[in-house]
Amino acid sequence: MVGVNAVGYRSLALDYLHAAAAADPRLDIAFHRFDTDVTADPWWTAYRVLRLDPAPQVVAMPVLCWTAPHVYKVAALVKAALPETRVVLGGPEVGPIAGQVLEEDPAVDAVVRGEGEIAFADVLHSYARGGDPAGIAGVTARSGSRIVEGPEREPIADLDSLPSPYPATGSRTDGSAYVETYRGCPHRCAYCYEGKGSTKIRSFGWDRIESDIRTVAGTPGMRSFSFIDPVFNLTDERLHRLSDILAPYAEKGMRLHTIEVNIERIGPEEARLLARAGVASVETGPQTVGKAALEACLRGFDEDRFRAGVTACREAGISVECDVIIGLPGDTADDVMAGIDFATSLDPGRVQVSTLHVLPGTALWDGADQAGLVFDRRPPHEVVATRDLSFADLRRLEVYGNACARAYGARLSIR
Amino acid sequence: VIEFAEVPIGRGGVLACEECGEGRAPEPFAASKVAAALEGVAGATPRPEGVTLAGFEPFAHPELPEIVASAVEAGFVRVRLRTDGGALGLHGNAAGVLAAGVRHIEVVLFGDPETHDRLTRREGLYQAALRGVRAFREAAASSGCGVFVSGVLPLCAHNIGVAAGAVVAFAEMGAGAVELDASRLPAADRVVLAAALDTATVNGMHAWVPDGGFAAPYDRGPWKTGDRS
Repeated sequence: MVGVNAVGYRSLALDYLHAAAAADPRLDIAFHRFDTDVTADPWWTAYRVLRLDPAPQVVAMPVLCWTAPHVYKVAALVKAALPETRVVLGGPEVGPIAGQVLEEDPAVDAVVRGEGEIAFADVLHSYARGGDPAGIAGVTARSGSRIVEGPEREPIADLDSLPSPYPATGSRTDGSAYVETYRGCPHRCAYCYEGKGSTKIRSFGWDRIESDIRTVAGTPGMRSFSFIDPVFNLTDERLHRLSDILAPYAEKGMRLHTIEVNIERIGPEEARLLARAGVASVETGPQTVGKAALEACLRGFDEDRFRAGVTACREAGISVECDVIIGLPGDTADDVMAGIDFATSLDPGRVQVSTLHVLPGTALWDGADQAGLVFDRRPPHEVVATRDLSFADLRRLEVYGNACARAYGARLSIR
Repeated sequence: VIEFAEVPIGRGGVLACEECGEGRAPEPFAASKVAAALEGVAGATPRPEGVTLAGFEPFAHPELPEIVASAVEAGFVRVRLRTDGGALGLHGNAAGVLAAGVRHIEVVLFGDPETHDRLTRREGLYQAALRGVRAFREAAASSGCGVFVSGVLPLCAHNIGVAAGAVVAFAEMGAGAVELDASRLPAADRVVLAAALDTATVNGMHAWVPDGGFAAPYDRGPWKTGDRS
């Protein structure tokens, strides 16, 4: 199991997959796993696979748009050196386009679509019996010369049935430890795959959440961690509960960084609860302030509430990272610059400007032509032009946005 | 955009094109006078969070530490020095101004290295500025401070032909933004300016020409600033 990560992050996916497969009574197999990042040479990643003795029968790799070129290169090298080894991929980059991935890349044997814990174990079970995983729900795989798409697999209803991804010995202390308390997203932003087309939320039980937080926070040397929940303040009740759970750790100095929040739902009381939970920084939009883009991307934006939310966080001592995306459909250059102006005018703590990536499985991917988006079909799928912004304009806005964000960030921290 | 007020710390300017012969006798202002000006600007509504200390080469000012301290005490969280950069890398100046609270350095360049040294009649000035900016960035990196380096390119008849080369020189310094000051040109050469702007873009820098007649996003910088005169 090979985890190729973006720099500074470490995906929880491999931990979940490993824990689930290791706990599956059908599987009597040995696992070898390691993590690397995209700055590594894919040949050396392949070396770490190909030096194993005995050779692996299956090589599994989660894939994000950032890591895809690295993963595909490793897959090709492994397959060339070990033709009998099965290469299994999963994750948001490949799941929504599984058939296409298999058609275009002969090194890939199977793609797990959607949540992988159970489906991946099924794939391993199939290979362990000498079969192929064709027909398994949630899996698209080769069967001889055919590519077979198994039926859709329902999302895992009881998340508590999944083994914890955290080893009993604790988690990583390098700032890349994450906790997940629910899956799904209440929003349907057209550029995002977080909700996977549904606004349904499935939560872990509170006992499980407390247990995972206890494990991570209790790791010797741990000073801070984060949550991967797309909206930490999903409901007031949830925020209160999480604040209660986290407060004892916060009192001992534990800090939470880059927590994603709906800033428009934060007032002084919510900010107080976040600070009590040890939250040092939060991440939020607005992504855009352009009316056309907000409509095209199915996003809401209330300037006054947004501003009030940032102010509340700031007054509670919480740094806010405001994100702006360049290249959303409907945005003109003036809209993008207005978004950057708005973000910096809030004095949030940090401004992050990025360029749109049209991700597989998103509404923008499916409706790119209609939305007038031209983008690179190869990962990381960066936007090339929009109806309102030429390729050159996008590049100029990138350098403008980065200059603003960097100039904003160059400041004394005292107030 | 980020608001910067501009407060003169002297008169005569930071650097001039000697070929133009417009250089004025430099004269530093007393730190007490600058402090009063800083207090005045800090009392404005809305108060800008940034201030550019300009009008005189800061590292030639005998009271620079006091002036920077006054700016920080006045509550400015972004203090910027407009400088020729020649002395930034000397005598621990880079680490010193960083520790004092300076987070922005704005370097004045007149062209590519050869042109810059020739027009300023100071041999080795470009390389000295390059070393200074590197020292400033290294000091920031080692102390975990966010800093920003930008540039001003005053264009005149003597360097308009090498505007794009000057932009590359800024890129070599790691500047994030460059203002192309075409105010001295009777009629800005749009083709040359456009080439300079594009050169900046492909080098990852934002460049703009104030009042240059270019449509957004060319005609504005990451900040608003006061009159440079």
